[in-house]
Amino acid sequence: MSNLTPKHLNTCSLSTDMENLPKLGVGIGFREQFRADLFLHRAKIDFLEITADHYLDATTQKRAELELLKQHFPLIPHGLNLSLGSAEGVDEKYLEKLARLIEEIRPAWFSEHICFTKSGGVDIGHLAPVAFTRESLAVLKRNVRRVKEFIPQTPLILENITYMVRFPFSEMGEADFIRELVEETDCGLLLDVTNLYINSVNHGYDWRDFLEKLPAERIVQLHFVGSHRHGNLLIDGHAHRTEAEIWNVFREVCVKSNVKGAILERDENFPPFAEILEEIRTAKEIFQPDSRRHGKHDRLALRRTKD
Amino acid sequence: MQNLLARIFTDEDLRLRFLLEPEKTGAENNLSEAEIEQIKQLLPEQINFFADSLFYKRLHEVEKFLPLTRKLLGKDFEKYFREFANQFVPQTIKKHLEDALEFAAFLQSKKIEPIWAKDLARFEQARLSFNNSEKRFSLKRFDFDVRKIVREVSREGAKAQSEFPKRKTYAVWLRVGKRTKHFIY
Repeated sequence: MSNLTPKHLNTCSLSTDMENLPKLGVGIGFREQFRADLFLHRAKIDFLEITADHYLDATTQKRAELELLKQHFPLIPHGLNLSLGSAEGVDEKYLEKLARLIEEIRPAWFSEHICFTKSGGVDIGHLAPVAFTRESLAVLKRNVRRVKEFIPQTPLILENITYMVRFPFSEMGEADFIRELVEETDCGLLLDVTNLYINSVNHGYDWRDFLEKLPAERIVQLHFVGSHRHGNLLIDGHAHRTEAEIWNVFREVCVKSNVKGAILERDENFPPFAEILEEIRTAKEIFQPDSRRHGKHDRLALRRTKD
Repeated sequence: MQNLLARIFTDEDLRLRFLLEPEKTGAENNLSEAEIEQIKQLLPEQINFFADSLFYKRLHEVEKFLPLTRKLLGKDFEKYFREFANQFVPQTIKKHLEDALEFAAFLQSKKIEPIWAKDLARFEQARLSFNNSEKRFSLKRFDFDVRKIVREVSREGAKAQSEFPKRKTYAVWLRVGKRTKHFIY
């Protein structure tokens, strides 16, 4: 494989037209546990989100799996460890590997999180929140721009996370923070409606107010899945069926935005696949009544572009 | 501040010290006075909740990689893992896999009952290592009849130690094309 170096340093000046991104439809995060069912019901799943980290430093077996998935589904890589919120900067060895993966897959977009996962040699092991300060914004903007130097051609979309730790010294609200971040870095938004709902319950705010402040034209993709209660708190365990309140958020976003894709993010407590398909069907009915037709047209267009 | 936060979230002892003496811990970690004032504002219950969630996520991922060892050790699995997690931080992209492999190695140094649980952990470690490598062949030696142990623990949980006498067994893993097989004799 070639040595990748930052290229097209001026491409950050090009604006990404989110409106012209392909409408992929509704899909699921790929999990090995339902690989067989996935292929059996291929026609009902418009695209897959893959965990990028699983295919970096991949074994022959994982590479074969990626090749198989690529042949049958549009893929969107979802990163876990860029740690865009790290003040020390992004890990450029990891970034190079991610860039190679994206060059191989040529997805319509790729995604990461508004968080930090490592600092000072310590890997936290999960997504930790950043304070909503000007300083954090500057760090995120700097890191996103660095990522775009390595991956200039593929739009980056950024996901909101759930968080328990709040920083009282934050200088702005989360929605304003996200808005400024995506607008100034010309990124899209991966709006996790489950995370939005959970945060609104746990931290006592109205998710509709939050949604009003987000740039609707930049919401490219959604994540959805059910939550569960732990005492007074809601938890994003990715282990339950999507509940009515989260469907309400999903519905509201689809009314306000021309969302291009939605992914069911089920990681644990896997139900019979028929239940997964039912959730996908529900999402499709809300997403766009004729979403299946649009999804197939765009999938075909995507394949022709790749060929 | 992020460096200290990352350590507070992942290091139980440091977290306790910080929550008891935030100014002192902040100063020891080169925070400015302004940063110390900021970090003091974080609510202990939120820090603890997040730190616990990180630990349990890490534990849960390792349980998936070492299911038979988990089943055999029961609650002790968490106890040992907590001790391990305070000493080891994975560094690679495959952090949960790295955790599982290193944890299985860590168990070898512990006094565990039943004693053959260590062989079970080593078996799962070897299987995991082989399945996540490009190796075509791997051979491991065990002190107990690991074939019987795996069968019994898989089926209905641990049997009394006397039912697994010491008997040298060998496990072989082979990769032929895309297929992998293992043999125990």
